[in-house]
Amino acid sequence: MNDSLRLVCEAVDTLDIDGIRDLVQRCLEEGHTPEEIIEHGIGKGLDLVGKKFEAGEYFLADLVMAGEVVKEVMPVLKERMNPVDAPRRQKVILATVEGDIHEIGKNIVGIILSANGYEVVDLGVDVSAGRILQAVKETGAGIVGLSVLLSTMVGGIRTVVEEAKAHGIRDRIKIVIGGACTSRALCEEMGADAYGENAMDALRIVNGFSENA
Amino acid sequence: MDTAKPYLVAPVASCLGARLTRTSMEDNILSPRVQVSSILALVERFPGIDLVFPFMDTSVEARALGCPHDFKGRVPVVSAHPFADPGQIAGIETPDPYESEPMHNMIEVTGEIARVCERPVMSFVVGPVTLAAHLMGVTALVRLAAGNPAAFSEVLENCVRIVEPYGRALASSGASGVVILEPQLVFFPPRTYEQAVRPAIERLARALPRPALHVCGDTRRHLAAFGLTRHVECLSLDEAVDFAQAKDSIPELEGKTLMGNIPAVNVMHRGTPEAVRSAVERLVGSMQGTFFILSTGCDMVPDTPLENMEAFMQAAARPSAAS
Repeated sequence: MNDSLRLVCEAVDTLDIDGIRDLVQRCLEEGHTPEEIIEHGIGKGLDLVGKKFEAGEYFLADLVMAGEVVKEVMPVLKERMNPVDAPRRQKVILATVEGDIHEIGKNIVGIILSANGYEVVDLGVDVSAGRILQAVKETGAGIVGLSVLLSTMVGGIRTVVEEAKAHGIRDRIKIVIGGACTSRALCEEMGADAYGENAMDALRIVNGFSENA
Repeated sequence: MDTAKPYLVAPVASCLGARLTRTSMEDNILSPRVQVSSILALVERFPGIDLVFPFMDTSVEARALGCPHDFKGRVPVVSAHPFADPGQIAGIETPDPYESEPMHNMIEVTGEIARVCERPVMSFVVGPVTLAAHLMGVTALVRLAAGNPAAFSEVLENCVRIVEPYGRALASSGASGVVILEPQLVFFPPRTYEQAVRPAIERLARALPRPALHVCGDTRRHLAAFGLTRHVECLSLDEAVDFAQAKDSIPELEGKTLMGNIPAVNVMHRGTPEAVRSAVERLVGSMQGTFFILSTGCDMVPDTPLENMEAFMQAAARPSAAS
């Protein structure tokens, strides 16, 4: 890997929020495309962060920081991206279900997916099933990620699943759930397609669905 | 209280009382009279409860400081974080707990249930990390901890200053103990706990009677640091922690009482009565000869089946469980 790209990767990995801008700027000045910087610098750095999180070396705060590091430079990179060359991977809708306003986990997933080339449509928190399905129709997204932290609100997942059936679009979308009160068993119970234990798991799941689409 | 058992039975179940009185969560939070009725109904239905908790509401202090919140059928959740800057938090005037309605309500609840329940009452305050997260937002707090540890420590100290008089007032009203609720603490690595959080928790705990520390989530890597926290007598931990294994393998936990940790969602809410009985028996069996407080890993879900709560209490009371 080129030295400058390697330094971007290291900056993400070491959560260097003060250094990342200059390093990305250097890559751009050297002629690297935004796509190269995202794939070989930021994406690889996030892979390392994910591995450290899964190994117990990094904690949730470190994932949040990694997201903040990436957020520092994504606007600059997106601005320079040629829409024709931009990665054409699936659109993913993310939302925290109706009645729940927790967003950190969802935001981390959004950052990881965006950094890996997915077009993320983040509908925010406390989102009704109707709004989610409307967004599916409008964007043509094939994957819906639902976050729920409050156990009292898990019924929101079933509502999305049932309404997707009622609208005749259930077989067009994959529904992935995650959040503190979710589990594989809950995923089955609610009729969703997959359960992501953490942001890196969510990425693996979305990659799998994307490859098989 | 059943002194024959080597453990106390203290499920965090007060919200189930709302079901018994057919009252809304919002009414229970906003009206001390309603909340007391619900807790009394719960204790009457389940007389084997040894320690009584008020409703677990982590928004009391933030609401006292004017943070926006919403109910939507559950305990309130702080919905916006108006104090983005550490300087703003330093400038917050410490609320008088008797003048602040959210705090005063809980003081009244604590006093009344201590008077009528004939059992020790454990009340709640939020810890400095959780209050800071309510005030600033978690992302801002994480950035502060990473970028300016001195300012992070100062924010935590200010949060202790804000919470401490409320904790003392709960004690004065009749709380036998106070649980410091730190659901947001799990975000931070043990080194941050050691360097910045622990001194603040110790300062708060020193001001409270029989202080306990409750942390949600997977805290297995934090346990040694929690064990070293002075003044905290009891650790209330979520289901990720294997109590018996932790006691055996982490010498720093020596002298701390463990409280927990039957899964509140996956067993109490979603499990069958048989699964609840089995989980209680397994936990009690694994803690043989060790004093602990049998509880849930976290607050129960309001619509937890009452037959599961019955199963919990029956298994807790059964002599075979304690043998």
